[in-house]
Amino acid sequence: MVTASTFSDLLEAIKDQEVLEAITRSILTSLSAATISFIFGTPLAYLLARKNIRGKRLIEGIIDLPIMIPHPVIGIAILSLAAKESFLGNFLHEVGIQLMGTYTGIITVLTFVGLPFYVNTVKAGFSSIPVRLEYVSRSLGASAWQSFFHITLPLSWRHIILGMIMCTARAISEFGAIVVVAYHPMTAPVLIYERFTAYGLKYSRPVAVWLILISLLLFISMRFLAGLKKR
Amino acid sequence: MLEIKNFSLKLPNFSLKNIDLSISKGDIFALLGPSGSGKTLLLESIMGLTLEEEKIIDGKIILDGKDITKLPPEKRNIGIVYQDFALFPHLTVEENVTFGLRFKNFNLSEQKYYTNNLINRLEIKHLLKRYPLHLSGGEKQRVALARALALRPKLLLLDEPLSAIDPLFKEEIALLLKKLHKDFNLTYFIVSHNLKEVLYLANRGAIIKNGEILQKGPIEEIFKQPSCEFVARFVGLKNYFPVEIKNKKVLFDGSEIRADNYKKDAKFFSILPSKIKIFTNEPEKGYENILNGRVYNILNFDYYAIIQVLIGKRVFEVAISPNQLNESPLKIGQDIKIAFKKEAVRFF
Repeated sequence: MVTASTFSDLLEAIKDQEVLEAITRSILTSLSAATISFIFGTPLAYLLARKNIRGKRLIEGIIDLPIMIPHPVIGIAILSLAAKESFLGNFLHEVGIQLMGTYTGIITVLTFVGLPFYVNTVKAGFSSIPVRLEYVSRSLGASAWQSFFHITLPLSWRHIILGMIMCTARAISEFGAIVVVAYHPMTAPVLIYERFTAYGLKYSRPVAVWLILISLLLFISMRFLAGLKKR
Repeated sequence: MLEIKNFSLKLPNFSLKNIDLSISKGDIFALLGPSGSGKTLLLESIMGLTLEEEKIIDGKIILDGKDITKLPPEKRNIGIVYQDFALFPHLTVEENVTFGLRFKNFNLSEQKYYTNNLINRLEIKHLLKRYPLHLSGGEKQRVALARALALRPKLLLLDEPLSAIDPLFKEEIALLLKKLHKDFNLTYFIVSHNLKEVLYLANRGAIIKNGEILQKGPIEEIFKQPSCEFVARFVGLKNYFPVEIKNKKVLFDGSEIRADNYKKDAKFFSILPSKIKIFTNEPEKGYENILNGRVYNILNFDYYAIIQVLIGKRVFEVAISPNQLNESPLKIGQDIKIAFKKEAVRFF
């Protein structure tokens, strides 16, 4: 696909403001979803890895749900939850948050589809760290929080970055749910789809090539970061 | 110093039941039991690590007169050295040893002197800049000990301290533990599944099985006077069989055994394998007890051989030298006689 596009096609595509904006939007919203997953997914992953909480299997099942169900269904579910007549929708409306056709909508969708990948990767990371290290840390005067920040987090940051890579990767590739919740502002996959259906392969291909190249660069950099300081 | 009073704890599929133990300052107390007996759970209860997930049903843990039952681990001032040492792999040896100091308010210069002294005593100065991954088992143990002792704990918990050590260095580590105990005025609580390993170290101990303490007291007493069959087998007593005392007669499976100094309430007797002789013909004179049996198995070790002899439905173990076995070879299934003197029989 890369070789099928000429250099001038690629140059022309990247000069197109709409293409540039869509790719930037895709990357920024995906990184936002990864950041949100990091903030909320890290404690959740720790809880699932370390504690025997009631309903643990149910929580794990709910987290994994977006992996299994068709993505337009996720989009429809999110819109239904945020509909004005629902309690949550009413609340969101009251505080001025709108999902349909907004950045908030895109990031919500991407977090929803990316979170399982983040939580599962980081949970595996936490599980691989012997709990005895935390016990010893506690015996040496560190509180549970201090033990987490001094021992668990430094030992699992590689898994956390890997989880963020997985989450970002999943989010960048999302199309089905976004197209339902926020066709506009357009993300790269939606733009590629639109150009393909409206103008054909020749016009959609250079955008797809740019998305692939930029994503590749992004993931290589993140992998490089994850591989740093290995002992 | 440490008192565990009527302590019970319940897990979904295991529980500690009415644990009563008392450890005095300066004691080396050994908690002994097989795998899955609740040793580590009790150790972690003393540490305060079972507060969150398991349910303490009853009882108290008191350290130096203070009730610490509900106190989080970081406020107990109890050190621990795990069997696998649990060194922090992302920190250097020096960072491991000084890890806990940031959470305590020690006098800086005094603490520096104390830590340096500890580092020198444990001979780990040359390892300070290295990471745990590159250390040997013995080095890891010394670092783990330094890390725990740096905070001057009131009590040091040692989880199977000699099990993960190369047999060649076990004695060295046992000596080191004893020396540290003396030099730093320490109190140890050791958990082990091997009595022989801690016999040299401990002065007092207890035997635990299925979450219950079966016997406690001076370690020599446990070894010499086991309170029940399980303890007797656990401490390695051989030829330990039930006995009945009736009309001043000692009856073993219905047959009389001649013995000295039996107690009226004796329930078991035992004979050291080395105190039993095997005869293929008529036994020599002087043996009060002679039993007919059959060779059940022959276990040949380097310096001695164990002959298992079936007497009725019981298997006796007899220790003989390899030379003896060469001079008069025995065959499995061979009919023989075993003989022992009346003073060789010990009652429990």
